[in-house]
Amino acid sequence: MPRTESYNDHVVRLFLLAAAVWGVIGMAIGVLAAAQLAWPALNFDVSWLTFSRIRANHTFGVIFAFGGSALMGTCYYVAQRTGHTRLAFGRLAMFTFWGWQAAVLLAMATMPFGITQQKEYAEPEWFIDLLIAVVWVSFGVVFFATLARRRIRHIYVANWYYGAFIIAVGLLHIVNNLAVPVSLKSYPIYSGVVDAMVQWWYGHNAVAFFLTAGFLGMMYYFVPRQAQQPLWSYRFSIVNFWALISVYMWAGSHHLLYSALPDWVQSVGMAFSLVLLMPSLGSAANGLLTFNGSWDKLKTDPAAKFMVLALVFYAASTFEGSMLAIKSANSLSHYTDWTVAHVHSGSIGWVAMITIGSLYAMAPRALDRPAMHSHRAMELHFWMHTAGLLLYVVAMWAAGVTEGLMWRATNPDGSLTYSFLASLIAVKPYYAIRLLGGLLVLGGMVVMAWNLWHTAAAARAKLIKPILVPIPEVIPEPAENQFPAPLPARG
Amino acid sequence: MSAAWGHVVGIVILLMMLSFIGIWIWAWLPFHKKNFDALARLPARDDTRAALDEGGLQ
Repeated sequence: MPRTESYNDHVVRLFLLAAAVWGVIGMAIGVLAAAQLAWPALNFDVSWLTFSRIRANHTFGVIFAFGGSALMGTCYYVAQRTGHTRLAFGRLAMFTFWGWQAAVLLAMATMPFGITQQKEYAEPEWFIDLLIAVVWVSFGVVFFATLARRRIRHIYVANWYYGAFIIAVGLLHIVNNLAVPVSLKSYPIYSGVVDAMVQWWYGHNAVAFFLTAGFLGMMYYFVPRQAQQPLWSYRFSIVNFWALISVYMWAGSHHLLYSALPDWVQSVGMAFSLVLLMPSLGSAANGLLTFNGSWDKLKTDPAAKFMVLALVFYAASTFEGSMLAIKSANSLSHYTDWTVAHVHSGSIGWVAMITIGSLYAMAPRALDRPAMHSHRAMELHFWMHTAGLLLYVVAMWAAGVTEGLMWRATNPDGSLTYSFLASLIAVKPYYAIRLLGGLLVLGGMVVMAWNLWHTAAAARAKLIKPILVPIPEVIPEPAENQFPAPLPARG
Repeated sequence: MSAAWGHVVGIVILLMMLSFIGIWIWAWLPFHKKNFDALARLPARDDTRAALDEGGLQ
């Protein structure tokens, strides 16, 4: 056994780099998709550049390539820091990095050519799904083995969220992708409305456990860290955790309101979506109140600004989500751009902003620098991102309500007042504003990538030293049944 | 829905409510205060030696 032990930040740095690169790529594809909606000729009549093909590349790129890399990197960082131990199975951790990059690259290289299952957020075909399953199980092994080697008896709450994220996403991915391969193509083992229900059980829980539980793990570590305050209420975080993971699983059917799904299943989805308000707002409040005593940081610290706005948008978009799950509200919003506004206030507002805030908090530490290379670039990024976000969601809210009202308007004789084409013409200006918002968000990501690249100069030149794990002279008694046993004390 | 099935559903809902309230009571037990306070401070102190030297994190 070595007398000293250092944190494994190498794999964290790789994920940081991957997140920055995929963030730029995924959002650039999103900007192209937004431009095509305003000016369809921008697909240049090339099949693999059409909206239908690149839309999946945008969603997969930002959720799984950008978000996934950020989640895995921060997860490895947080598990080590909150357990005071080195990451378990270093080589397997490296495999999870290269395996994940290979999987997302393969997915994004095959989907534009029509090699897809046509399941939203689960587009990759069976051979990529198998690779994802292997990488994901390895990720779980590294994470839980690291927890098992911890030197702090209690498992910090951020790790609970990361653990739920890993277990639930593995379960969702495997069940939803059960299929019979016939060539590069496969056919799902489910059919009809059962297939739809399984898909949206997966789809909604991808939001729940990938885009919420995982990023809440990030929030519960990096928000108190950046605020330099204790978490506002640790016990409240436990109640929210159990409420969130037990309720979210049943809300998926709200994606299928007014469909062939049995009516009572739709109502169950609606009811659970309303109950979800409690843990969602609870976590948002816990994060925001953690800034009590440190609100002055908002004047000077762009990372803290990103985090606070992320929490505000988490509260706002989850409230909006619960409201849109109410059948009568959904009858206006469904199939309109309101859904697009809701998704993007959650993804650009909550997910991207908590990720960017956390990366700015983690990067200097992982790269062994006192601070990011450029403070002004962080400020610029914050304002570009915030302006882009607001332009995007306000434009899409306006477009969505316009569409919803035009589609349901009827003349006294019962015929429709507007043609579908009339609604497309009405929302075209909003599509141009959305493009502008997207360009600002993308520009901000380029600024962040530039900033990270310069912050990483010393790391690239191999001038940095590993950070030592603080190992106490006398460690507490290990928890019963802790396996493998914690590493011995120093000396 | 048959009456028997309705009773099963009712009992399951009651059990879920009780377990939720139970988790809430468990989390608020004074017994946890020392550990929870220490855990709440863990991220802000990050990986400094002081975090361990002060004890409390067990």
